[in-house]
Amino acid sequence: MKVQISASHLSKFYEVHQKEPGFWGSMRAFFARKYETVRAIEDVSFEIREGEVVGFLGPNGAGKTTALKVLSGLLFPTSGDVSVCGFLSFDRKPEFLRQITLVMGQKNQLIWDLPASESFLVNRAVYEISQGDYLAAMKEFTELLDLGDVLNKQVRKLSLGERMKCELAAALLHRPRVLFLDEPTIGLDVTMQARVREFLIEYNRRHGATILLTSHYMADVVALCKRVLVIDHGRLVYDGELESLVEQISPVKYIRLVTQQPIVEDLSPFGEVRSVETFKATLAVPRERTSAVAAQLFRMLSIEDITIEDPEVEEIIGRIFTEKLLSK
Amino acid sequence: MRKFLAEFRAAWNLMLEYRIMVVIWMLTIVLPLIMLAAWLSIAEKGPVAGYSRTTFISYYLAALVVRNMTGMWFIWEMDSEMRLGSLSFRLLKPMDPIVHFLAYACSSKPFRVLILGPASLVALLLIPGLQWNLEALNLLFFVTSLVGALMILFLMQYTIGLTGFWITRSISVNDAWFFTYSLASGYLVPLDLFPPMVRDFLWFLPFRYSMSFSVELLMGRLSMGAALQGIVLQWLWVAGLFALNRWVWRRGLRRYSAVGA
Amino acid sequence: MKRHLRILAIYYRAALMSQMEYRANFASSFVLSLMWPFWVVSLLWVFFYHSPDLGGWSFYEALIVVGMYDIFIGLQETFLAPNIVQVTEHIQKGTLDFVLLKPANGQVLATITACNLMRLSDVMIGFGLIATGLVRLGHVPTLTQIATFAVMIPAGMITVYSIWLTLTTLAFWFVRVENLGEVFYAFYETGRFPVTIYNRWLRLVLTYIVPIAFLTTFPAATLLGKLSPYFVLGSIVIAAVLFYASSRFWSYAIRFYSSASS
Repeated sequence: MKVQISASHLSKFYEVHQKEPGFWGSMRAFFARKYETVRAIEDVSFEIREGEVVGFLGPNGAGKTTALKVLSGLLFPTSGDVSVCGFLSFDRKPEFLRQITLVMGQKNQLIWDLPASESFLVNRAVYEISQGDYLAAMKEFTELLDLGDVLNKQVRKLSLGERMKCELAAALLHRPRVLFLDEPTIGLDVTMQARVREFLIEYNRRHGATILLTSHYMADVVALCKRVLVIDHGRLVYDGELESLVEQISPVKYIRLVTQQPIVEDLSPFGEVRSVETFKATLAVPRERTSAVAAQLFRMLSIEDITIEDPEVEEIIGRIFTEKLLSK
Repeated sequence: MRKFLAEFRAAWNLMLEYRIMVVIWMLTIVLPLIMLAAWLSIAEKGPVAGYSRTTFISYYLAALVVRNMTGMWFIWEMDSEMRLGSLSFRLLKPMDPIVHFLAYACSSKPFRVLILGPASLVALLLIPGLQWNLEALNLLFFVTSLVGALMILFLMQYTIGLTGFWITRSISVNDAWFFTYSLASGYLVPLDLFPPMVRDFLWFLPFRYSMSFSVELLMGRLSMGAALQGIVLQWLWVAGLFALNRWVWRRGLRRYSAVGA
Repeated sequence: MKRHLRILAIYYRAALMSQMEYRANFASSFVLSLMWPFWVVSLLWVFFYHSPDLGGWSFYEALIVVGMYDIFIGLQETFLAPNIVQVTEHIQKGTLDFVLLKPANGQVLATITACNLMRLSDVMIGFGLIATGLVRLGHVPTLTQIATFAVMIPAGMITVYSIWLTLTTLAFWFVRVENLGEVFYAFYETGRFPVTIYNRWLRLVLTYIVPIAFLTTFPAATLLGKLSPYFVLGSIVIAAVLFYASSRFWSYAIRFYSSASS
C-alpha cells in the first residue's frame, strides 16, 4: 500500500516564559522575562500507509497533540519534513484540507445553539459536497451512529455522547482519506466509548481511510490499532505492533477481586500480590495464565466481582523508560 | 458565494434564536439620542451652524438607522474563538474564516430592517418636516452607501480581531477604535459642527464613509456629483482596508502556525 | 533550510512580541482609561464651541458632572459588574448553595466578592476631572457642600448596587441576565451630561423613577452650590428604599431557589 503520511526528523520547539512563583517573582518577571525551550516533539520519523489505523500513545504532555497538529497542518514544524497525501501539511492547500479531518475530544466545531443538522449543511457547502454524496453520507452515519432525531435538537442540549456522535458525522461528511483524532473518547461513558470505537473500525473497513488516533485510554488503542507509536517527552520510543509492545513491556495483567467474605487465604501462589484488604485484592498475573488463575480464584474464594485489566498506559510507558526498553 | 449563503443561513437561524436579544440591543443604542437631547437644548435659542432642531432630529435618527445597519459586534465571537482554540477548526476547512465572520456580522441586518422600516415610517408621521430625502434614486444611493459602510466597518473590526493572534486584548483595541470612530465618523457629532479645519481633515478618512456619508445622503444634503464621488471614494477605502486585512491575516496565520494556539 | 530559518525568525519575533503582550494588557487598560476623558471632553468642547452653556451649566461645571459619571462607571465596573457574571454562573451550575452555606451574610458574599481592580483608574480620573473643574472655576466648596457631596456618593453607590442586585436576582428566573445590564447602562448613559438638557418629562423620569439624576447631576450641583443641600436627604431616602426593596427581592428569590432545588 502507498505511503500516505510521512514524517522525517520532525521537531517542534516552543519558547515559553518561565513563570516565577510568588509576588516578587511576578514583579521581576514583569521587567525581565526568562525563557526556556520546550521540546514538544524531537526528531520524530515514521511512515504510515493508506488504510492503517495507528495509535499515538504517551502520557499527558508527551507531545501527541502537538504531533497531530503538525501533521494536520495547524503548526509549522521547527525542523524536519512532513507530508500527508502528497501535500506539505502546513501549506494548507484546499485540496489537502478536503482530504483530512481533525476531531478533538473536548472541542466542538458544531454550532452550539443550533441543531447539528445546521452545522452539517454549512460543512456541505464549505467542502463542496454534491447532493448525492451528502445524502449517502447522511444515510451511512445515521445508520452507523444511530443518529435519528438527535440531529434536530440543539447541540447544547445533547448529552456528551450524542454530541460526539454528531461531531464525528460533521467531521466525516466530506469523506476525508485521513482522520486525525485527538482523544475522541475522552469524557464519554463506557458504552459510548465502545460505540465510537465500533464506528471507527467500521468506517475504516468500508472506506479504507487512514486513522491517526491519540488517546490515553488503553482500551481505545487496543480495540482500534494494530500499530502504535509511543511518544514520551517528545521522542518516539516505539513504533510497531501493539501486541508485541504489550507482551514485551507488560507480561502481566491485573486481576482485581471483590469478595463476599473476608480474605484470609494466602494469595501469593496465584501471582504477585499488589494489594490486599479485607474484601478486596489486586494480583499481577502473567498474561498466559490469567484465565487459569481466575478460574482457580473462583473456586477458592466467594467472589463478588472480578475484573481483569491491562496496566495503565502511563505504567507501560514508564516502564519503557525506567527499564530502558527502547525497541527501535 | 454558495459557501457564504450556507454560512449566512446558519447565522440567520442562530440570530433568530436570539431575536429578543437583538431587539434589546437595538433599544440600548442611546448615545446618539443623548447627544440629540444636548443639541436640542442648545438649539432652543436658535439654529446651530445651520442645524435647526428638526435638522438635529433628522440627523440623529438617520444616524441610528445607519448604526443599526452597519454596526459590528462580532469581535466578541472572534476573541472567544481564539481563546478557546476553536479557531483551529476554521483553519482546517477549505474556506477562509472571513466568509464565516462576514455572514455572521450580516445576519441580524435583515431583521433590523424589519424593525427599522416601520419605526422610520412612524418617525416620518410623527415628526413634521423630517429632513429626509426619500426619492427613489436617492434611496438607491443611500442603500449602496450602507453596503460600503458595512464593509468598511466589517474590515476594520475583523482586522482588529486578527490582532488577537499577537495580543490577548483585541477587545481593548476595539474600544479604543470606538472612541475614534464615534467622533470622527459623525456618529456623535455632525461633522459640519466641528471647526472647519477638523472637518476638512476628517472628510476623506474612512470614518466619514462609515457613517456621515450615508447620513448626508439620507438627508439629501449631497448633490448627485458629490454622491457619486463619495461612493467611489468609499469603495476605494473598502479596497484599501481589504488589502490591509489580507496582509494582517497572512502574518497572523504565520504567527499562529509558529506559536500555536 | 531557508524556509526553516525564516520560520524560526518569525516565531522568535513572536516570542518577543508575546513578551511585550503582558505589559500591553496593563498598559492598554490604563490607556483606555485615559482616552475616555479626552473623548468626552472633546464632546463637551464641541458643544461649547457653539454655545456658552449646556442646559444652564458652564463648561467646567459640566466637566464635574462628567467626572461624577466616570466615578460611578469606575465603581460599578470594579465592584458590581464582575459579580453578575459570577452569580449567574453559580445559579446555572447550582453552586450557589456553597456560597449561601458559608457563615456570613449570603447576600454579601454572593453579590460583591468579585472585583476588577483595573477599573479603579476610572474613579481616579473622575476625581481628577472634578478637581480640574473646581480649580478652573475658582470655586472652593464650603464644608456643607463637601459633606453633602461626600454623603451623596455612597448613597448613589447603594442605589446603583440595589439596581444591580435586582438585575442579578432576575437571574433566578431568566437565563440571559448579563444583557439586562445593557438596559441599565442605557439608562445610565443619560447621566453623562447635566440632567437639565432633557425636556421636562424626561427630567422627571430621570429624577424620580430611574434616579440617574441623583447619581451624577445632583452631587455635582450640590458641590457647586447650585442645589440646596437638602437634596442629600433625597439621595439617602432613595438609597434606603431601593436597598430595602432589592434585598427583600433577593431573599425571596433565595427562598424560592432553595425550595425548588432541594
